[in-house]
Amino acid sequence: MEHQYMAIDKTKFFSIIKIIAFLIYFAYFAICNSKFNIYLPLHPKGIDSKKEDISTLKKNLPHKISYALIGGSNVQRGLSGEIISSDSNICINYGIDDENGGTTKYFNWLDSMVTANVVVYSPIIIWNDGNNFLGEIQNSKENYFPKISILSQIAAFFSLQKNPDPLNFNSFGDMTDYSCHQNMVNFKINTRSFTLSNDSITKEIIERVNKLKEITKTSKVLVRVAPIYIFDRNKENYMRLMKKRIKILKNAGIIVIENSFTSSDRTLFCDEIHPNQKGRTFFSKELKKALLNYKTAH
Amino acid sequence: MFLTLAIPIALISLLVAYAKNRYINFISPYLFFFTGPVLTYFGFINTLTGFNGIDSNKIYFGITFYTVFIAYHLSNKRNEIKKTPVNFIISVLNPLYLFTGPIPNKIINQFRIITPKIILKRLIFIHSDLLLGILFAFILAPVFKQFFYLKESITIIDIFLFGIVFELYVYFNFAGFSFIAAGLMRLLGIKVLQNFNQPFSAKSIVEYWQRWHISLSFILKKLFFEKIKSQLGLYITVFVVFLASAIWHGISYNFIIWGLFHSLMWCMAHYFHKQKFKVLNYFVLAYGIIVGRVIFSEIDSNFLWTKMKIILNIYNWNLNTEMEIPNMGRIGTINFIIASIIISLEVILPRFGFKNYNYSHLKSHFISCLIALYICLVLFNRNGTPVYGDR
Repeated sequence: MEHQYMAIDKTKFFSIIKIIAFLIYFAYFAICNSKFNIYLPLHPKGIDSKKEDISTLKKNLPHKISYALIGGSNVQRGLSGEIISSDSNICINYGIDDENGGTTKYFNWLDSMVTANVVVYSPIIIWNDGNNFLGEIQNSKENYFPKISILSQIAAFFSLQKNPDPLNFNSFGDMTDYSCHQNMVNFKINTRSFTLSNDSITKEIIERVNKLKEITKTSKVLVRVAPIYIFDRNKENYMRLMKKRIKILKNAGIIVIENSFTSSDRTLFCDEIHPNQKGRTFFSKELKKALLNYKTAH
Repeated sequence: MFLTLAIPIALISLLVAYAKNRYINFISPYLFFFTGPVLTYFGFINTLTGFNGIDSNKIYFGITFYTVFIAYHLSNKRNEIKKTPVNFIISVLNPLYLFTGPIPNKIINQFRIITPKIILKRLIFIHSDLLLGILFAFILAPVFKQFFYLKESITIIDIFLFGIVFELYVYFNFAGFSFIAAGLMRLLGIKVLQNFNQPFSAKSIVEYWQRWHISLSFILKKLFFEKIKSQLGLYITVFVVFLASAIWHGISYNFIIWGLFHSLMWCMAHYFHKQKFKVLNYFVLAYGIIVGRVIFSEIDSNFLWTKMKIILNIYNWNLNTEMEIPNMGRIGTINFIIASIIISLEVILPRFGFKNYNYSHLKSHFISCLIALYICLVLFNRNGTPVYGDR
């Protein structure tokens, strides 16, 4: 009889621990999706703090910004304003991970802040094959889940005690503490639906470019195809497909930067769509060269 | 969105169930079974290589799973459909069944009003299946993705390493999502067929297939094996069953080769078992799993042919490797160790006389409690999509 009671108690005890674990995670989930998430140690500096950083920089700048880099994580992580800048041309990286939850919200943030001679827009949606897994729909689908584990938050809390003010962005808007764990998968598109969705995707990009022209008050909005990692044997096929899409954009009067938009060198990437530090340097130098060519030609 | 196609298909299957023509009765289950493959052939949905997690059109959501469910019921439980048509339709449309299996073998027939109080009561005893599923699918499976670059390498070591890594990835992902589906169904008071039963505890490839994707194996057995075995004999029947299974994953060369390869492995294992060649059976098991997974994953037939030539050309094996230990971070390393321990226990324990099947060692109150705490600490958004896709 006593044993039976003990067994029940043990079961109850373990159930209570499970419930506590569930409730803790549920609370964490709720915090991450509320306005309080900014107080979590590992939450990347919010959109407002980047805005603040860049605004401070702009106040101290001697002249108008030459280049503004616009886009999501492929810009924030994959390009460096510092590398593209030179003595006569200042380049600012306005890229924000996931475009902070959607293009409308992101463009509202950019509004009245970005003034540049040339705007480089790098929409990852250009690789969308109608599959809804790149671009905004992904954001709305996945943003609710915490992006950082509780354990990482705890670790960050203790490391923040030692270093209370980590700098996430430098004065060019680049991430300064950017590191990533390699997680390589072949970038996969459904070639059939890629071709079928050419019109809808290019239409969306054209609309966004027009909106950017309004926001930045410049007619020079260039579109850059975000580079992706793909296996060598898929390269030719994907490039052929992308060239069709670029042609549609060019026919609509959009200027598309000629850069390498696929690479099979995995030392340049964290995952299929995000360059690592080495890749960031490589692709930034490439973009710098392309922008100089553009400037010379125009 | 998925209901736009699922509802008409469910209604058509209901009409077919009432048909009196014996030719229709005979052929209709197979037409439903092969609906998915035909759609892959015409490019409407992707093949199930494990790399096509998300499909192009949500109206095909779950189609390969519910058409197989319909096929099985039209073939073996036609009277039950006629007796409970509404329940049958609801069973076809049950979204929990659709997202990655397991394929149910029963029509849901116990409808009770589930109050929040009942759900809460069940949540208190959060089911170990659900916790194990989250651990497998969202925490352990993503660890193996970091080795996927090996898919491109054509040295023999890398080909085998990729086979192992991808097998483990598919296992943790697919078994994990199956557990989650089973756990959620349990919260709603419905018990479903277990989809995995420690496949790496198997002593032969025959046993392995009795433990992997059990719900599909069950239906293949009912639809094909039991119906043709007496006429065609065991070995030809096994060949037909594997070919049907292969085609169900998609119509492409790699799946045809995969079906042929596994039927050959199965027959060899069966023969070795009769001859009591235990060691040879272990070899066939390991070779079948690894090479089978390499074939399964490679939809590019030219590249697959290159890999097969390398595997078969033993005398010219290049023992170099492109393998690098990735920087997984501390939590990633711990996850990798946990995954390795789970697989090791699965492989080793039954061979030392411990009859721990059905993951009993991972479902005890104590371990389940540890899993809950671990999930709470390390779970974050890892984009864990079902490897078998949403088609």
